[in-house]
Amino acid sequence: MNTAITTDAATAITPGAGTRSRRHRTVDDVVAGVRAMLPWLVGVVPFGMVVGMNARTSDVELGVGLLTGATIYSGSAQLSAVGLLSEGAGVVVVVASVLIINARLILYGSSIGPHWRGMGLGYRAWAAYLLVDPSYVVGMRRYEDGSTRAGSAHVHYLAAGVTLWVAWHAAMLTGAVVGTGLPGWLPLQYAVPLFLLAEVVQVVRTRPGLTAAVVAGTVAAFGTNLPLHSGLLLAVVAGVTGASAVDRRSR
Amino acid sequence: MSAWLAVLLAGIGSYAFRLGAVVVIDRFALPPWFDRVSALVMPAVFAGLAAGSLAASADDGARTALSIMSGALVTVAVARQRSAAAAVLAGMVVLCTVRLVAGLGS
Repeated sequence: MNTAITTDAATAITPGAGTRSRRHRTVDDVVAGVRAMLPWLVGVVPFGMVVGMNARTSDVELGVGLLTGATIYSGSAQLSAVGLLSEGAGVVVVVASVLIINARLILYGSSIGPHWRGMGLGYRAWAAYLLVDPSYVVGMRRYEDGSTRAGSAHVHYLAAGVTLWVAWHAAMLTGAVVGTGLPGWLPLQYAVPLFLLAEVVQVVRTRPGLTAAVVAGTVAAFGTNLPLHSGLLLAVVAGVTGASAVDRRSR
Repeated sequence: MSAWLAVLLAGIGSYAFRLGAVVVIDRFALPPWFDRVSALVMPAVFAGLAAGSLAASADDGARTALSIMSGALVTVAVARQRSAAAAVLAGMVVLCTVRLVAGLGS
């Protein structure tokens, strides 16, 4: 993980001071990664509590329900798995439904993967394990920021991903033990979509990017009732395909 | 027993999805069009996640839809000038206010 961070001219000139400043920079990157994930936790933690409570109240063993966090690690797919198991569905049906819901992770991996080229298999193995919607968004925001060193972005991604993982599991456990208990007047479930909306406004800088966002947003909005949460996957594919066509025609 | 097996297999499959594309991409030279297409995934995912989530909530009724649209419009307007955090704060304040005025969530 640290190999890409060690290439810095300043550290080569003054080893002692360089090492300290490098350490400080790494700490800064970790703190920045944790902070970048915090807005997500406003919406993710209540969702994790719901998933945990669902694991406790379903007909499935609590251990199985909680294990979905460490293995499947995707809220909607976890809810689907526990729901299907609770209804007595077979192994094949459960696995197939989870994989259809999680098929979007292939797109995330192919999008963020090029940024991890040259990193050791250990880094990529852990980074891939932490890959899910919030960590993808936070990671890509940093990787696409031209002013950021690659090594700095790698540390930032891991810090954000670990923060999410810990918070998700803590929320699941809390939900399983004490329930959700969210006040009705504070609709925190809207905080993350609004945050993403603000991010879209700020990351879209080109006509193809705008087309991708508009097409994907429209398809996702009308595809909320599609089976197995396939609306998002369809939306991303439609957005990218439509924007590519516009891009080709304009060149 | 089969429940444990199902969760383990689903987890292995999910991890294969996560790591598979990363490893495959690392082993091959990427064609020029890949960068262009890949750059479009991020805005598509952001917009898809936001719109899908908001639209699903808006199904709860006209007053809920109105509160969400109000919050979303304010978020977009503020995000053009300010940080994402400021935009979300403004959007949430407007959304909660509209919900209270409309008699929701009390």
